[in-house]
Amino acid sequence: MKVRFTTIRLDGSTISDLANNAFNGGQVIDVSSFTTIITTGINPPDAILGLTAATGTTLNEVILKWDIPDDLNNDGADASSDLSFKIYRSNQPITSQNDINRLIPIATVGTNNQGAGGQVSYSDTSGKPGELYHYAIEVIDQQGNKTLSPLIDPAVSKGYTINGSVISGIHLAKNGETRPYEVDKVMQNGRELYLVKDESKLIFIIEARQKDGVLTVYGPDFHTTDIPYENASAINTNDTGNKFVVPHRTLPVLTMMAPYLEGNSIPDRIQVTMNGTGQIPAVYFNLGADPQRKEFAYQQHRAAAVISKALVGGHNWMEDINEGTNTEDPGAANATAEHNIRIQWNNMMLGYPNKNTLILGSLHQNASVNDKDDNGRFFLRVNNRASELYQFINEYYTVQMGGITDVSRGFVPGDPWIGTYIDQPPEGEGFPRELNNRPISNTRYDNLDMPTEELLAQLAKGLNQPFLIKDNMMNYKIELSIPVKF
Amino acid sequence: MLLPGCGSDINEPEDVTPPGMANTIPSDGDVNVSTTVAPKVGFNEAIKYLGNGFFLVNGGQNVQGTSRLTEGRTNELCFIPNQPLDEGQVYYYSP
Repeated sequence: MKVRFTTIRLDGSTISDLANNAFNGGQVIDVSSFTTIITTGINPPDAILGLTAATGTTLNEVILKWDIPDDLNNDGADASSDLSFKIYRSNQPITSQNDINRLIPIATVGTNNQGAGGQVSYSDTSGKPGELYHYAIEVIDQQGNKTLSPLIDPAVSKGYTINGSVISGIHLAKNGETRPYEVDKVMQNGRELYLVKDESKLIFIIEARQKDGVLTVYGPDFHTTDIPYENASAINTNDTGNKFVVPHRTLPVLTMMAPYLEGNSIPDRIQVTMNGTGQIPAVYFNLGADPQRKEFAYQQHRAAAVISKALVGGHNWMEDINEGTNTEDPGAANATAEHNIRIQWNNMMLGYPNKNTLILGSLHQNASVNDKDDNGRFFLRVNNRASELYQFINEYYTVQMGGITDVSRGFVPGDPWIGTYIDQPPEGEGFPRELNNRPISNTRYDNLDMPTEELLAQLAKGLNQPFLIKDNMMNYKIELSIPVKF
Repeated sequence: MLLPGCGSDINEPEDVTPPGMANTIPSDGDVNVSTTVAPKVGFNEAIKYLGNGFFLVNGGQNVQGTSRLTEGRTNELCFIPNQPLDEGQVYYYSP
């Protein structure tokens, strides 16, 4: 029971009648008590108990849950059903009112979002994948009384973690800005990615050759020797014990995979930072790959890397890809028909990564693990339309490296490679040409009398999902990797 | 022959009865009293007031304010809190 009252108290020694007779014999006495008006909600709500945040199951997701706190009125009635909750999120800890003053709540929810156990639940999917977020909830009652309840432990939003799959894709990097083609699977310049122990695995491929960027990998127990890499002689690394730094202009391909981290006390979080002023190499992350298939994934990424390298740098990619195609699926014994390894090339692309290279990415519809040549190497089937495309290319371009001669057989050693070079255009004629109907008139290409616009249109026609880069491509890098699904 | 003088009380008995409290505002036990109330205590006769003898106590603490004779009245004290009264201290009584 609750009561409240105010007492009227008189000091008899100060009160007398006109004959100087003291009130109450001069003694102090309580003469009355009364209760002031009862209103509700003068008390702020209690702080939230049981507030938790956990990585969700969908991309970007963090799931918050909390118990509904008490909000007792002065008469003892509970008004907690009328509470609302403002949810604040930050990359920095939120511990005080001052902290939330600089923030905008990401959502306001009521008590009707109750789930199991009567807890209020909120799914935050407005953040970025793989980010470390701090949360705080401001509890507000109907009278506007507020109580701030910070979340003690931050949470990592759901990253690109798809068990058994390799995240990959096509990405462009230009002047320090990385542009995803499909989805943002490439870390932005200067951004940080947190991977969570036992949940995220890390494989990244970096094509940093002749680029100006720095890749830094942090971890409490992380050493250069943990990382397998190619072209070791070209790598100049700084092993600082918990930081692995790849300076600019060093390695063409770096592949790091989870097993090497797991074997060396994988930290709770691995922080990867990319910084630089010029072209920043794209980094591919493989999160959550099935360890049983990690070697396969690793090899596939190596293949992807060398493909990328070839496309960008003009390497003889068939030589390089041999390194990556000698793969086996460690999980094959357990694989079902449904899980047969398939390589899906979803996209086609056209671009000019530098002044003297024309890239024509050929992407066929599907290639399965059985699509190997007699030597066990993968080959890439080209669909008919792509075939027409290359015939077209051969017809109209002076192809220095040759064109596709046997598209039905795919790419095997000895075949000309997928891309084709053209020389640097005449002075003042940068690639790509504007779509201004001007014919390409370089004497090197006398047999090319097709207007650029029509050429691009033909290319687009032959491409499954053409991706045409229409502005100055000199600073672009185009990378291609292979999505793999188990 | 002597006539009684006007106002003379030489024959009246001496007043030895202390003043009594006639009423309080709010009354004892009143509820839902405004927090802006200026409590008053009425007496059954005119009084003299030396001051600082009229308290409001809330939650065991004296409420800050001033007390005086109600203007125009000689038998009533009033207390003017410096600020509106709290909605009260909350006391928990075990059953």
